[in-house]
Amino acid sequence: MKVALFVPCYVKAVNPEVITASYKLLRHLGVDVSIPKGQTCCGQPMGNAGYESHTSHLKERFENIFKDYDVIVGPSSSCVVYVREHYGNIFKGRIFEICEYIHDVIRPTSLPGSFPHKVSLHNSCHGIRLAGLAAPSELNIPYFNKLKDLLSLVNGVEVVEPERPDECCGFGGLFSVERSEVSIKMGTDKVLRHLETGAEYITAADSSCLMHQGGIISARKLPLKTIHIIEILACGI
Amino acid sequence: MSKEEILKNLRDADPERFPKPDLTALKAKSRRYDGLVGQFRKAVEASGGKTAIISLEQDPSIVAREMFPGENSLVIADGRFGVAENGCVYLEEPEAFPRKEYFLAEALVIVVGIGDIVANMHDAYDRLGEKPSRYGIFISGPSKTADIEQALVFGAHGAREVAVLIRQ
Amino acid sequence: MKIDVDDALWLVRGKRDRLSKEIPEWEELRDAAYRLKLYSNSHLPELLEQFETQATANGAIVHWAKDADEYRNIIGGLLKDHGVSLFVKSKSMLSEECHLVPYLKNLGIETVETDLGERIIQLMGSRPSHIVLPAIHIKRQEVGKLFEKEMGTEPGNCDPTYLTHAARRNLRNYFLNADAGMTGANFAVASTGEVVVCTNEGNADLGTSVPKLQIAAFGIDKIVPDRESLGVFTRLLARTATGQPVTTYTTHYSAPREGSEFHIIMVDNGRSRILADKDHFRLLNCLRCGGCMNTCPVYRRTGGYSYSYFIPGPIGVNLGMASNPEAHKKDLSACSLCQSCAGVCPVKMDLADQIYLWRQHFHSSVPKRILSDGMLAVMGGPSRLKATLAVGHPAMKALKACGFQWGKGRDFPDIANPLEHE
Repeated sequence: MKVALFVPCYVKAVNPEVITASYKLLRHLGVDVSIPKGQTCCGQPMGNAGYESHTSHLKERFENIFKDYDVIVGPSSSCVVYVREHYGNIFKGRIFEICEYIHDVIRPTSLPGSFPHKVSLHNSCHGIRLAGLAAPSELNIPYFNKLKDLLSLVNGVEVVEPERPDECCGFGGLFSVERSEVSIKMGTDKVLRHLETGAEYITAADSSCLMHQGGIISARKLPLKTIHIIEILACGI
Repeated sequence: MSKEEILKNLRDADPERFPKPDLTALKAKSRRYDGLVGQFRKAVEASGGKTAIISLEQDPSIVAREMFPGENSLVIADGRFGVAENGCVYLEEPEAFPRKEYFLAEALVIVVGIGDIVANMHDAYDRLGEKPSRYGIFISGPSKTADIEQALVFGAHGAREVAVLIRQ
Repeated sequence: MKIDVDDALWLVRGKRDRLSKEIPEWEELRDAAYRLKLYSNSHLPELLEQFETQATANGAIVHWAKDADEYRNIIGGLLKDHGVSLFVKSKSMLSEECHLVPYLKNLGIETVETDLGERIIQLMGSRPSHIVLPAIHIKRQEVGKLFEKEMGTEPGNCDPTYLTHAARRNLRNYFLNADAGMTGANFAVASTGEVVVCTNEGNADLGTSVPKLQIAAFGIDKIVPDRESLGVFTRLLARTATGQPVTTYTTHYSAPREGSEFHIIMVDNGRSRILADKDHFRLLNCLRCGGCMNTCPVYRRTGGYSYSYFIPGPIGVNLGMASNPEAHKKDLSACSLCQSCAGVCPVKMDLADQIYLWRQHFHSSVPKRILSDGMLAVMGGPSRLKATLAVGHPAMKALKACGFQWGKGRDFPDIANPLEHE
């Protein structure tokens, strides 16, 4: 089975360690994963801003790069969901958010690493409401949280959640620029709620939310760090 | 005629025609309550109302006076049935009892038979059927508002106090 | 003097969550409501005519209004014919949509809003900032001052109970002396021809129980097929709107009271046009519960006045676009696409997905296009991405060193050094 790692452009730009960690983790779990060359943006930010029609060449490139793979796995739920929902049927059923893939398909019972820290879990909007990584607070369905399940396999990690555990942090792609003031207000509220948990780290399956919250942490010089969940799951590999 | 024009526009819109959903399964699996009367009382009280169980011999007006001593504006009304899930009682407008009495009273006391409590609104509307009545109202507790800073206040415009007497 | 609308509405959302979780079949209920609305809205001609036949048989008089003009004229005509000088009305989004009150004022008819929140707003000469909680943004001290001036309440007393009861006494006079009373409708039942109004205060009930003329006006999307379907909607509505199991009053009006007249006005005003829009006809599902506002993180932080359409929040953005896209396209930016509204909506409208769709055709601002195209330029191919990183890494460092921020209170991210990560 051919498995490809989808490298979202902004992850490569601001958080390239996540790519390395994803690759190592999948390899460790016995997945014969490769990183196809020539990848770039999937078009999500332009689509969300209203310019999906400008991105047909991105879609074409993406399709050409990935069409021959059986499974595509990406460390960003919003990008994965974007491809799933806006590329017609071509990748439906074979593109996965990486935690979703590990949790649902590989189903590891242990991970080798240890991460002796308190982390506050950021349940990103597209991760839980679109990619199905956890039960959203709006719905009356049995509780589950795949991210928590995976983190529980790592030694020493203490997972907490902020008050309003799945309220939007206010990134929202170009929303963060066009409605900068409210975006920063939402982000600040979010970061302060993470801080109240006493955690050292905010972790999430979306680098974009972490990038936005990281900017607020940096501006306010708060005693908090951000770390992508895959980096925790891959520690010690 | 606007009617013809509206109907024409609606027909011209030519929406996909969706079938009417069958609610039988949903209604069958809707939440039931062990102890309808207990749940009903709990729900009435949660809505700000009082409840009491009275015997067939007891005079509701005497019980009502005891519940609201000194209240001059007290109205006693007959409820057709109560709903356990949300604590409301269904009333109509009997002759010689204008509906405004329900709302002008300071204290409204509704009498309902202990055997006339249904589980939820599905059962309530099944009981009413599809035959129109001239007027019908579900009342759940006293009139209330939270329009000033979300502070809950009883007695916005209608009855400030409501009691439901459940008659054995 | 600002109220924390975010905290206040988050509490309402929390109550809604708790109450929805008391119903094990909640998601099936939402699904049934969704399908009932799709059914009724796709069968409007039959259901409206059925309603008219039934309502007429009940003794009501049914009017059809194709637009706001006709709606206003019908009401104005009825009030003139009946010699009405004092008119009490309960909350109706349709009356806001059709600018009824200013029109009646020009006819010399005094309209008194009787919902407490609406009355506060009316006396302040303002407009509602929320469709269910119109005065959510107003502090008790402001209400205290207002009532001191308008109702002669004690100076400095801003206790909500005291003020509410002062309004109760004050409005009683209007209820008892009004010549006509009007309500909107939460539901209009085709099988019985009855109009269903859900309120907590009892203002709609008092306003229709005394005057000799009763008017109920509603958008044609308020039609539901039968009472059986009311079982579904009444379990969802108040739980979602305010976190109550049911409103205090759920009133079914069919026949006129003895010696009075009951007029029903069914209004299109653009709804048939929405029905014809294959992308957006599901907007007609809306129950006007306000649940999407309570959960919207943008609405909670910016308030109702930050939107150009009179209905704010996720549903308002959509209805504004459906009504006049050029006038309201700026509101499209008030959404981070977090999707919370879709999960709360009792009739399962995909409000965020619809905002996404509107955005593809109407652009809220020119700078956004420049940004989007700019991103496309720098991310649009692997070699460009590489070049962007090569330039971006030192450039971002330099920008940050000079104190530039990604908006006030948020630093730019560091751009990775492409030489270190290949």
